[in-house]
Amino acid sequence: MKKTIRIALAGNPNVGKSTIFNALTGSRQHVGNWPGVTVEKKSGFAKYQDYEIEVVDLPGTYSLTAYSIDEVVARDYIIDEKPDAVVHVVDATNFERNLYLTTQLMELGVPLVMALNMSDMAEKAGTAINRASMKKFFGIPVVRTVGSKAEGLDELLRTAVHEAETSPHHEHAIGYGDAIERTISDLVAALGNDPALAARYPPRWLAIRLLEGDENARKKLAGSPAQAHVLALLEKSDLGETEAAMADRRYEVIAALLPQVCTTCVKEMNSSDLIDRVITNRWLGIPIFLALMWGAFQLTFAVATPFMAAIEALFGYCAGLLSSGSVEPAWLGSLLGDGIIGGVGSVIIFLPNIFILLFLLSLLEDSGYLARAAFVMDRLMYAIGLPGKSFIPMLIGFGCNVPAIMATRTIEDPKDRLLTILINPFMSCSARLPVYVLFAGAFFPANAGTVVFVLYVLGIAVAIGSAWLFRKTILPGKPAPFLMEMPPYRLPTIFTSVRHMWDRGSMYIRKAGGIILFASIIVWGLATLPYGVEYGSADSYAGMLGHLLQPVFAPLGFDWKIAVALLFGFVAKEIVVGSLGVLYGTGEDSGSLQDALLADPSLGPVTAFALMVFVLLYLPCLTAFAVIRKETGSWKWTLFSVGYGISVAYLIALIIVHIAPVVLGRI
Amino acid sequence: MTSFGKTLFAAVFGILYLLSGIVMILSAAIPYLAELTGPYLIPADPAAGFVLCVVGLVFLFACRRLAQGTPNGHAFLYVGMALALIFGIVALLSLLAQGAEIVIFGDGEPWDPIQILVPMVYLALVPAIGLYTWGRGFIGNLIGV
Repeated sequence: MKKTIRIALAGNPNVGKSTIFNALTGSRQHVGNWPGVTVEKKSGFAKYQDYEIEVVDLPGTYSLTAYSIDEVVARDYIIDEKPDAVVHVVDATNFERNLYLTTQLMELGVPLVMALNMSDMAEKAGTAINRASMKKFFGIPVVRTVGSKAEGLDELLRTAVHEAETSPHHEHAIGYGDAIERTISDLVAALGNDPALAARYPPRWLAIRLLEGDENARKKLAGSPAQAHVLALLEKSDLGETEAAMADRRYEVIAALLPQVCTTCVKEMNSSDLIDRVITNRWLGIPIFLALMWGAFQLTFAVATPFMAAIEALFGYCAGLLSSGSVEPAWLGSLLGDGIIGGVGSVIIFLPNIFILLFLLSLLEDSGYLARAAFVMDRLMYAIGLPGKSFIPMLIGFGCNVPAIMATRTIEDPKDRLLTILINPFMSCSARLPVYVLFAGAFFPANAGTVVFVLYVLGIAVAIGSAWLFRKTILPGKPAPFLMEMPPYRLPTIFTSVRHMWDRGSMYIRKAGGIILFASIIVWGLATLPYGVEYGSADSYAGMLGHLLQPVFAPLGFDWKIAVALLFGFVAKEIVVGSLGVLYGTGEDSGSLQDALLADPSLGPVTAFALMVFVLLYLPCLTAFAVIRKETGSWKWTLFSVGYGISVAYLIALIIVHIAPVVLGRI
Repeated sequence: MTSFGKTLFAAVFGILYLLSGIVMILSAAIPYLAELTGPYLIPADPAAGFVLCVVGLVFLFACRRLAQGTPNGHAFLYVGMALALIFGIVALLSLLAQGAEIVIFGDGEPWDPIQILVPMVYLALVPAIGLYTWGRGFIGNLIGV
């Protein structure tokens, strides 16, 4: 008679788990979703002697905490469904990294087999893992496998069947030190008051999870007679500290045992590790990151200057040809000069800045530094309630908020994801750069690069401050810890970085010929009509619209032209510059838009800085708005994002306008 | 060079960078100080001063670790020298670009090449040589060259 058993495949992502699953089950597979979540569930059947073996492929996880849906699914399956054996698939080429999950699986007390996968590659690289020592020190049978060549799978099934048929199994305890062990004992005793609970979940494992602040484990206590006593015991512990201490202890155990099972796995620190000690240093990491970002903005501003001057000279020449009256009728000359050259030209001038910034960000990314920057910032971000995974979408936001908001899909926790979406518009996308370059160049010529750098830092600060505020109010909770693999350092090639720069930057050229051109013509129409009024005067439609909006912006010192430009800036931020170019009529004028702004008595350095801050914070562009709606699936959160952004922008600009003069001693 | 020599190098450049950075920050806040330091090619620039302080701190961390004999002391030294070189290039390119704009598109105003001699540029010369001499193998290993 055939016997049926169930085995689960667990392991880190990218260790070849699915390859082993496919090799074991062949075409006898079923793919669906785990109950209640959108995580893919794969199960299939394998035969071994007179055993019919159901194989379940669990989601890849680095640990068995409850910070992601994948971890909860994997862990709950092992605890609740109680498979007859768990096969822990390990990447033999990255042996040490995989052992953290091993220690957690050991604590579950399930029949466990380790599949030392990709063994051929590890052996080729000189890694020799002593399987007998593994069995001796970890108490786990280890099988050599090469999933891609279906090597070792028979032995794997044989060992799994043997473990499944052998009983009883006990969890392999790691000693966490006197103080923590006393608390664990107290908790185990308290959990013993509920025999049903103790029978369902290993008490020591549950006690450890509770001590590590696992909310999912707490839910398992609901309705239990032991709940009140257990919660009272937990109240006495600093769960954050305990969680860190227990993780440290697991790593200590791994560090102590590793040399005894693999003499070649304990690597000396290589150049990359040594550099990481500096770049991610507790005290130097953030200052080095800020210094490098300053360098990027300094170069962006300074190196682009002669290119901008060349483009400006070209447009000035074209505008000069039009202003000579060679184009008839006059309105067509005005459309070409004031509308198209004044609008589109004002934006095109800033292409060198955009391309240089994107090129420098590509260099930092391609060298492997940005991953380290994410690691460095994680410490700060976690402290204020932001998940570490938010940093990558935030960095992408420096390029464009639209892909950045879409990149939040990698964040598993819905609250963490929503939080990251809500703060992302504060990351200064490169479409805002033309506004900064225009005003910083005009009003802060000696320190323009530094002013732009300050704006980017302010955007990060407002994003982080908002995240803290949301965590304390509307989105309470604790962010998931951040686990990421550092890419190796590489010498970025000019070709690759230029290609990345072009991929990201070419959309501005398309925008200039599309939506910016269209908006410039609309603004020109508003500034020209009704027929017969002076171009761009208060009597034009643009003037009327501006005067309608001006009372709102008057406390910030913005006149009606800026009000109109800000309104159109909702479509795309570059249009703020394009609109100002049209409204100031710089297309046919020999002077530049910067000269026109400097000549405007309503503008000064303080108002200009307040305006740049307002543009930085006030609204996502129309496309970002649509993406926020799509990704949150909620009008409520989309409108909240817009309302919050406008409020924060207005408040900070108001503070700047009224406080800065006092600080600068101008009153 | 001996480990002592590298420790001394890190100490000297740590102090030079840190002092220059502090002076540049203070000069921005105290006009009188700016008048004093300006002729000595130390302009008032708080952001650049902050960057110099960061490089100086990396050198001083290197000095401490090299003196203690910890293996990552060399890494701090090489990163310090690399940062000095990177920011030296940033400052040089920025100032050359400004000069090019004045010369090509300016209204005839003169540009004095001595303007490129700011601390971030001239302090970087020796660390750049140090990086080439001591750090070639290390950097080569790092980026697989």
